[in-house]
Amino acid sequence: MYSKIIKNSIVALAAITVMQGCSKKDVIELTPDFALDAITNPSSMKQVEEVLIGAYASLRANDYYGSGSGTGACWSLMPDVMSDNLYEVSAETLANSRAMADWIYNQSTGQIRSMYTAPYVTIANANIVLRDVDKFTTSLNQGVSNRIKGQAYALRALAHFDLLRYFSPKYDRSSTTDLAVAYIKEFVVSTSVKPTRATNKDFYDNLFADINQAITLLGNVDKPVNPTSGLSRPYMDRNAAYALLARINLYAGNWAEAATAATNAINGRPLATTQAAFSGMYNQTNVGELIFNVQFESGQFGPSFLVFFATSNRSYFRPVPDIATAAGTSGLIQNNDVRYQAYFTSVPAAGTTTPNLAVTKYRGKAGLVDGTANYPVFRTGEMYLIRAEANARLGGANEVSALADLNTLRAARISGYTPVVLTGTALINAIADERRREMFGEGHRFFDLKRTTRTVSRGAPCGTNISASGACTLAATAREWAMPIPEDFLNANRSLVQNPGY
Amino acid sequence: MRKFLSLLGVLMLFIATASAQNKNVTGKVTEANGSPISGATIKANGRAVGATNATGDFTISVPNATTSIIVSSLGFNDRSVTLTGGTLAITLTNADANSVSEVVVTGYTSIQRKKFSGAIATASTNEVRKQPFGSFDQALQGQASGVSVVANSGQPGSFAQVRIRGNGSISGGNVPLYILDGIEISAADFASMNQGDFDRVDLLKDGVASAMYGSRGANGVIVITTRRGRAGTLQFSYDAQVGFSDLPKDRLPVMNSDQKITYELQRGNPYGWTTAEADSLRKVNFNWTDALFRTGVTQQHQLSVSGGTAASRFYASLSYLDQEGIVKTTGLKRYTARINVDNNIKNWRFGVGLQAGFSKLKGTPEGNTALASPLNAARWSNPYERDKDPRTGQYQQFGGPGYLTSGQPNGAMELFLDYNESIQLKTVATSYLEFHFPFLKGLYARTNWGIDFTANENVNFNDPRTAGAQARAGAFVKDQNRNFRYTGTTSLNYKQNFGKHEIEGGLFTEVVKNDFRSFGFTAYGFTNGFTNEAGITQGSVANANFIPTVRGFGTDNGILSYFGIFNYGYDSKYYVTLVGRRDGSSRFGLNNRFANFGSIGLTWVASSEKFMENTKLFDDLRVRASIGTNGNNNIPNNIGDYPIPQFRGATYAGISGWTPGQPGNLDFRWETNRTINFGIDFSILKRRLSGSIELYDRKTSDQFYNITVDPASSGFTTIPSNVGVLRNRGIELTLRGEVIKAKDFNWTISANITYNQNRIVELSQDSLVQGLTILKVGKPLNTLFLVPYAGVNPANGNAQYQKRDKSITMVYTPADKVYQGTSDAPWFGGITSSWSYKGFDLSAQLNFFLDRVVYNNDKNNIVNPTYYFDNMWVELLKEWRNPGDITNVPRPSSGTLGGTAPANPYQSQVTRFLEDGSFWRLRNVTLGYTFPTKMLGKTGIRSARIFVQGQNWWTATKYESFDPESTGTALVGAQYPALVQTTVGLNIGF
Repeated sequence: MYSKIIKNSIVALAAITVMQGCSKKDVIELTPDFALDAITNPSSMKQVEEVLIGAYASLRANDYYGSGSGTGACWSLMPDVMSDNLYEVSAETLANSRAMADWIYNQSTGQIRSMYTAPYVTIANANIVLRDVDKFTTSLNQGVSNRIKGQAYALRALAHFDLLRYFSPKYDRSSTTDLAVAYIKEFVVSTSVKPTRATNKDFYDNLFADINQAITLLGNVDKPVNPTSGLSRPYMDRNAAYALLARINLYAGNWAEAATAATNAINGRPLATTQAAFSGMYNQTNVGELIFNVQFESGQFGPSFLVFFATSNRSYFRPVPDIATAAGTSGLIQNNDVRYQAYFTSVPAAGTTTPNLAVTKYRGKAGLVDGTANYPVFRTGEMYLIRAEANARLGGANEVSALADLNTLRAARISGYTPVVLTGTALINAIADERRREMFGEGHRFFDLKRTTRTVSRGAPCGTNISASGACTLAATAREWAMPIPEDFLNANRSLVQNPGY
Repeated sequence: MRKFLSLLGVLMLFIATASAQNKNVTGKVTEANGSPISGATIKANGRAVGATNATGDFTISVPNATTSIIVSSLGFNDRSVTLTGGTLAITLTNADANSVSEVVVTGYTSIQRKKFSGAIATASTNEVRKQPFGSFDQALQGQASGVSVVANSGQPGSFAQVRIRGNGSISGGNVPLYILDGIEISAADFASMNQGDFDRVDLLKDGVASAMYGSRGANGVIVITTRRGRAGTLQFSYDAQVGFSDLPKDRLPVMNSDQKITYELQRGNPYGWTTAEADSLRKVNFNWTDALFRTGVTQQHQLSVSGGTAASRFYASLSYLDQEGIVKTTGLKRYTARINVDNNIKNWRFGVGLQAGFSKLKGTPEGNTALASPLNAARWSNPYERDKDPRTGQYQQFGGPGYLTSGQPNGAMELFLDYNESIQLKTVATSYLEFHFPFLKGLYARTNWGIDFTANENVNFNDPRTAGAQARAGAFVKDQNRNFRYTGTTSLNYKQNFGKHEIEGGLFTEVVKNDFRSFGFTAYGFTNGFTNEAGITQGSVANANFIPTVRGFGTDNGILSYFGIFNYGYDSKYYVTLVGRRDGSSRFGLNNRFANFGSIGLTWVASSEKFMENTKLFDDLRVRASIGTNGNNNIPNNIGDYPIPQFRGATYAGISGWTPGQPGNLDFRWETNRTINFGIDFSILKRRLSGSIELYDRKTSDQFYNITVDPASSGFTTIPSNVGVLRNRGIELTLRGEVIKAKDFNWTISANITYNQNRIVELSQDSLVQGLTILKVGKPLNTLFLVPYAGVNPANGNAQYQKRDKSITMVYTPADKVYQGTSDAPWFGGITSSWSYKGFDLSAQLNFFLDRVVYNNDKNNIVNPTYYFDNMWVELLKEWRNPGDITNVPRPSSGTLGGTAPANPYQSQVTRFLEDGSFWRLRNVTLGYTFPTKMLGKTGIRSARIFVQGQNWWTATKYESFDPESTGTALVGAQYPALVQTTVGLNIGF
């Protein structure tokens, strides 16, 4: 009888153990319900396209084209902060980007670290798309495949080029000694992979290969990349690829190719010629001359917050008087210019009533002041300036078309504009001035100075009580023209080489 | 069947014969103060023969040959009494934590302390119960050696940072495991629990003590046992406390109006005050601290009842706590109920414990540098501005809607118009069923199941009138989440003595599953005056910025374990404990989910040896040694519950997509903790002085560590890995001495001191700078890494720094950073002195944390010369102004001085803001009076005590802020300091 009880007890205990053993599946072998397993996915063309959407979403990151409170906007407004376009307002700044604004960054500056990381997130998404898209391509969906693949190539080129703009000491096309950054064509999660920095030549070769692939593929698609009607153009179509090609060639000094690509882009999107069409690009009331914009929706921090904290009307930075003034009668952009109204509004500092100009181009859509606004990555105005500059630098007969482009652009912007006649250096300088006007607050000035004069010289009010910034000039020889490779990535990847001077 | 009947017949015969030779014994059992103890167990010849009734009386029948009985009751020392033939008057003394007769509870088993080789401390439940904290863990401070308890905040209901024997994990969780009546409960989630229900709190510190929780015990275990019913008539208790709390002394004074205006004029009059304006503003002197802080009132009540029969006992309680915070509008209200029922019927034992708690917390943002935090406003707002305009009674908004002139949001508006409310419902239910097999004495099976369910609802309302909230007409953020966890433990146990051999053991299987879900939304458009959901304006294309955002998330994890515990004792002198186990966790890679852990412990009761009997020195001497391993699955928060690579959702232009979310690591595995412990317990001088010394070496390898990678190849900057070794070594000393032990007067001092040395032994890379701190082999965790500040150059006012070669420079470079000490105090402890005279008792507890440094960012915020539009630290009046000035405050300007001085950019990662964070604190002082039973007479009141106690009355520190007690390497800002409290209380039993 005892043995029976013992037997029963053992059976009971075993049963309980087995019961818990069976629950191994419920307890131990768990998979996420709120995330997509990346081992077996993307598993369809639809999911590949969704990863492409992820690549676009990554452009919105605070440290890419979006912004945080007084931080980020690295490719949308930071180059203006780091140049002579803006001054830091002592009375309103929280000094969150002091290290960037005053060029006192170093290899351990947090902003540099996130600046180095952000484009690689986009590249990772693009590489996943390019890795998997062919798996789901059939003869029936070639157009879909081309549309997805073309955008992925274009985004991969865009993100790499953005890295080059900050981290390469020089922009020379053919240098085999100057270093750009690593050009990544494969998505790999591993602690043992150590990418190396490509030389400028190899880097440009890869860039051109990608962008030309994009142009080819986007020429044969199942449907338009962007909605044909609509107030924004949130995806990179063939025009955007041409625009990117034009910009890359401009940096590379390939003047003829830059002009050709710009022409291709201009042919796709004519210049905006009215105030409504121009302002509408910034507050999403008109598609204007947009070629490609990063789309920000309600609640997603647009580019503004680095410079102008839209929701509380606080200007951490304001435009220098050389650019524009509250009176609108002096400076590069005056009140007879469509850009004046699109870019600026007088927003006095808290507790004062003195008119004071703020950068309000990204203040909000359609009259809102929530800082949700799109960032124009490419628009036709820049293409005119690229073509003008390229032609001016080619010189000779090309100066005629350069001058024509300058006058066309000015006529579209300035009311009552009288065409000018310029040649040589005067023409090049006039185009550069126009570029400063046109591209103000769109993330170009620091790079334009870097590829041309290599000096920043900040006039008033730098160094006064109004802007107690400690640094007003950046010399051509300064190491700060190229950002340092972040220290911890350098430690993690010994194949990387630090930029000179750091 | 026939066999069974005959056996029964024999048994009955035996009982009949036994009763023929019995005698009756009567007596009364009381506490030292004369209160009767009901439900005390009377044992004779090794078995229970009866229990006392409500008046403490008992009558038992024992064999004639019996010469003594043993009386025991939970919370009292056992007492052996020789039978005299007459009525016995037996007085039991309160059990003290280190008494050798005490049992220790490890959650699965309870075992006599003297047999146990593990390192265990028991917190004084009286202390835990009486201190009026919204979260009971705060009351553990200074209670036990090896256990560091640092308050995070004085916000009512906020939890403390509890560390047992240091930080074992660099980036994973270091929070101990909390077990309530055998089931896991969420750590740091105690605002809805009533410590008045706790009967014991045991702290398991070493490998063998916590080995039974192998899968989760790496950071130590805190085992809470709730009060159980006692057999006897119904006993009611009522406990109440009422008191108030205040703001501690501020050691970081800001400028008054006169000083601030003087400073502004000195800095170039940024606001352009006219002389008349400046003179008038100098006289304002508005005190922002007074405007935002107050004296808070606390009250708590608890009613409990206990009773039952030998077969069925219960305990039930109701409690209410209302604690106002010292920041206006903040506070905690808590309601709890509990019932515990235990039954012994034939061979079955079973019971349930049910607890429900509801709390409502009104809080304010803290620990940040946000402009909109009222706690920052208290420091930053200019003293010549007011919360309200005295002429109109309206909030001052001279800097635009919601703002003061300086651009600082009006903190009073943020505090009084916004609200921040958390509601929590927490239910803990446990049940057990135990069957004692009749055929083999000592063999029983037990299954214990329980759930811990928490539902939280957090609401954050941003009034449309406050700063920055106009654009979207306010914001209403509501987040709800629930966490459900069940724990089930099933075991087969055996316990028996064979002559000099004692055997005890069990085989266990355990399952723990946790499931979390959350949901939330943010809505806008509060235009109709309502501040709840009724005020929401639905967004549409026409008002796109009123479109609400919604979110949700969920995750789960589980643990499955199989283990065995085996204890063997020989001759009451030698004891061995063996634990072996296999644990699986869902958080690790497919091939590494299961891991094996084990431990062995030895105890030698030296004082029981023959050769020791002649030495009169030791009344008790035990030597213990143990080694054991256990695991940690508290992975770093950013890794998530699943080790596989994952995409997370991303939206662009209104279209949903995927982006890489987790890099994953299919080889991710357990973090393993190995502890060696060596302990001595002793008592000498007729037990007047007793204590323990513990030496330990805790080494944690396979550290959860996010290895930094170049983001180029994947966009990820880190990949989860298992690299690195961290070591904690230390010594713990616990002493308890009865200085005076007289008839009416007793004086006891107890102290515990811990020294814990934390060192990084191995790291994925040589060193890793993380902002203010560095990870470096050979240095402790949380080592501050800053450039030494070397004062001000008298000639030009530039800040100076010390280079690595000790020379002084005016040029700052991060390359000059050096190691500065750690924020985790290596030395800490508590000293308690208690006096009792007749019915009076007085006790004082002094806690200390020594040899720690903390970065004072709260100070940095009011020293940075950029922020001079707001109020500043008063010391800035000593700023350098002219060549030759000798001062410690550099010139505020950052540019070069026309070639006479290099640029002087403000630097914050310097030792100028590093401060000694050591402190001594009078944690608790209590004066009580217990009414003698005689005096209570026939009032129907069984016992009565009144007391007055104070918390944090006195603090000694050099740290310049409200309170040196803070967690982390830096005091970030917006500090909600620990409360200074005084309460009067009453305990009545009837």
